[in-house]
Amino acid sequence: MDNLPGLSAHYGQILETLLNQQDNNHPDQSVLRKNALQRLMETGFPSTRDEEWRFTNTKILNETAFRLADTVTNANASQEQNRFDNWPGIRLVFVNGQFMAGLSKNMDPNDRRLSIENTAFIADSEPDGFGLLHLALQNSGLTIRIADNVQLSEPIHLLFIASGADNEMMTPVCDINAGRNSGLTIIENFISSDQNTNFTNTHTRIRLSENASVRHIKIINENIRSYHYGQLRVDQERDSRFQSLAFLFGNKLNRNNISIILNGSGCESLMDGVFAGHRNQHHDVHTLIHHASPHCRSHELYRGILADESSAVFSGKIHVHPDAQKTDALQSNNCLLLSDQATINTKPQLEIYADDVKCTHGATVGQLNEDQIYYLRSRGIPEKKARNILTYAFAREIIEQVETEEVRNYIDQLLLNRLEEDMDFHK
Amino acid sequence: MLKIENLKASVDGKAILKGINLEVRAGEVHAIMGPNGSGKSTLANVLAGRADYQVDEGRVEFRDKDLFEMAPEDRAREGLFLAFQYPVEIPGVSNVYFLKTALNEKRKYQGLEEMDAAAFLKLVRERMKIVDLDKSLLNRSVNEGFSGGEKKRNEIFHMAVLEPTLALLDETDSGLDIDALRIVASGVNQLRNEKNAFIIVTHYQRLLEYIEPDFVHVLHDGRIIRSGGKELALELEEKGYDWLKQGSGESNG
Ligand SMILES: Nc1ncnc2c1ncn2[C@@H]1O[C@H](COP(=O)(O)OP(=O)(O)O)[C@@H](O)[C@H]1O
Ligand SMILES: [Mg+2]
Repeated sequence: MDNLPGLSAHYGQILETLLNQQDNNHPDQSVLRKNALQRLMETGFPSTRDEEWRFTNTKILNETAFRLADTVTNANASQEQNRFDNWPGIRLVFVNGQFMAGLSKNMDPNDRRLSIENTAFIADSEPDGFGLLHLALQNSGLTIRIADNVQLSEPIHLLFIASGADNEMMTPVCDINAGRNSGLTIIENFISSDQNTNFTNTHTRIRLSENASVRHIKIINENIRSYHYGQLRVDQERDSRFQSLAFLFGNKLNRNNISIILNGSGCESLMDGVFAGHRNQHHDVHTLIHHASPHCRSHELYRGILADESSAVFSGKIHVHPDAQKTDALQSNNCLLLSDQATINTKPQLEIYADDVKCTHGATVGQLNEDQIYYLRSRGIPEKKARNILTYAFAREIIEQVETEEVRNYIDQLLLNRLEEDMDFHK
Repeated sequence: MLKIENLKASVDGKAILKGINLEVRAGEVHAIMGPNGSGKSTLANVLAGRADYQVDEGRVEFRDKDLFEMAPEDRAREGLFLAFQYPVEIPGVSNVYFLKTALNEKRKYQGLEEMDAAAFLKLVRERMKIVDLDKSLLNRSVNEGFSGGEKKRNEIFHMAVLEPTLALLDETDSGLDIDALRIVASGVNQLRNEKNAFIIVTHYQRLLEYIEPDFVHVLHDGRIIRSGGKELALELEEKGYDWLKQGSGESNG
């Protein structure tokens, strides 16, 4: 890596400071962190020569000496959360990547159904440079455990407020463990409190025990100058059900890696999402699902809406292991290009090593349907509104899967704001 | 309310309408008949404002305004309505939301207040009865998965809610069984009054047994080759189109 000498000393120093601050850490952690940094120095940050990064240029991230964001909260940041006051359930607030117990809501330490501890550390990561950087410098994090047989009816809302100075990085961690037969919805909601250039580098791990049911909703609406690198890694035991819903609106550049391993038979895994780009935004969604056991079903649907000069990458890999017979895997990616300058690179990849499986994938890229626009206009709906209705409808199937009304309305509003449309679609 | 003068139109450089003249006044029902490919849908869509059709010559006045100066949505908001021969499916947009949006756009254009949810629902319930529309079709995506008959009824239902001044029905009767046909016809008859007008495009005379037209026009190869009263439809029934095709060239509409 060309300019690593400078950066290496820089990140090495941040790591030292971090280790000095966190004296209660397990001693193994400092070894793991140092090793990760060492590996980063050797392998460097991604480049467009890497197959997994061909269409996402991270030069600016590679070359910036990010500092870890200050923990001090500003008044702005704590006010940001007020607009989520109507969301039901527990709210856990992170400011600049640091968990703030004082800002959180509806946390009951005596609740026997779950435990929430501010001690998370995840010992491995995606092998790329940003994954390693996170492994080395992961900062504040939560370990959430849902007890066996507990069904949480209200979601757990993790709100991440970025309010750092320019070139500050946040490295939060979430380690979620769902007990046998348990059920929960977890929302990771990323916002900015200002227009600074922050870099959110986040890692979430979810482990589902036998017959557990977890729904994970990720919403990014960080500002258009910010960067985001996210890892979501999911481990499923037999008969468990997992659903990931992603709604990606924010950032100048974001990369979301989702990898799911189906470790037991009878699992179901759903992965759906919407990415909406405008101006010069770049979204990159990389998903990987390992069918490592027989009789599992996975279903993936991503829809992209790209306007102006925005661009996006969708790469979905399905890996069916030799003994994963009777796998049923479906993947599809549809993209709507609203301008001639918008671009999408979509790459489905099937690696199938079992013979008795059903795997399908499909990708479409297109514009709005002119017959539909004409039909709407011929009933009196102005052209711009007709286009917006159709664009909204394109994403709706995925938004509708969000069960909590307040959360769904928020996502609706993000999309409508993007379309600059004032629609009341649900009445 | 509608005056078509020497209208010529083409698609991809191919002439389809070759000089149409037609005048429609308030309170009238005109039937346009003609064999497949004669240009009936082209005429309807040129009037509604479909972009793929090129107007080459002629002019159309609608309520004293130049129709071709108006965008399709403005024509609709001025009171034009086209019931499509092949209604378009719109996944993800509920039928009732679509209709409410369309109605309120029209009201805004007319300087009226938007209709609130309660008043709208009342109107919808009332108008559904006119075409005996199944309630479940309200909240489904527009036309998606509707049967052929349901799509046609839905068009008439939209018409009943939007209350156009001039309605063009493009083969709304095609593919309907006799019961559905009666329902559609009775819908039209209930909406018919001295302030509005209908142009009913049909391939068969069957519909005209239920909707009595004031005028019947025969369209052939882009021209109206014969116009007359409702007895013309009966004559066509007996003799077929071939009887008219020979030697006819000019419209007298
Ligand atoms: N979009 C189009 N592109 C090319 N040709 C068309 C198009 N629409 C209509 N036509 C042609 O124009 C002629 C008239 O069609 P149409 O108006 O649909 O007739 P009708 O409704 O009377 O059956 C036909 O020859 C048809 O093939
Ligand atoms: Mg036709």
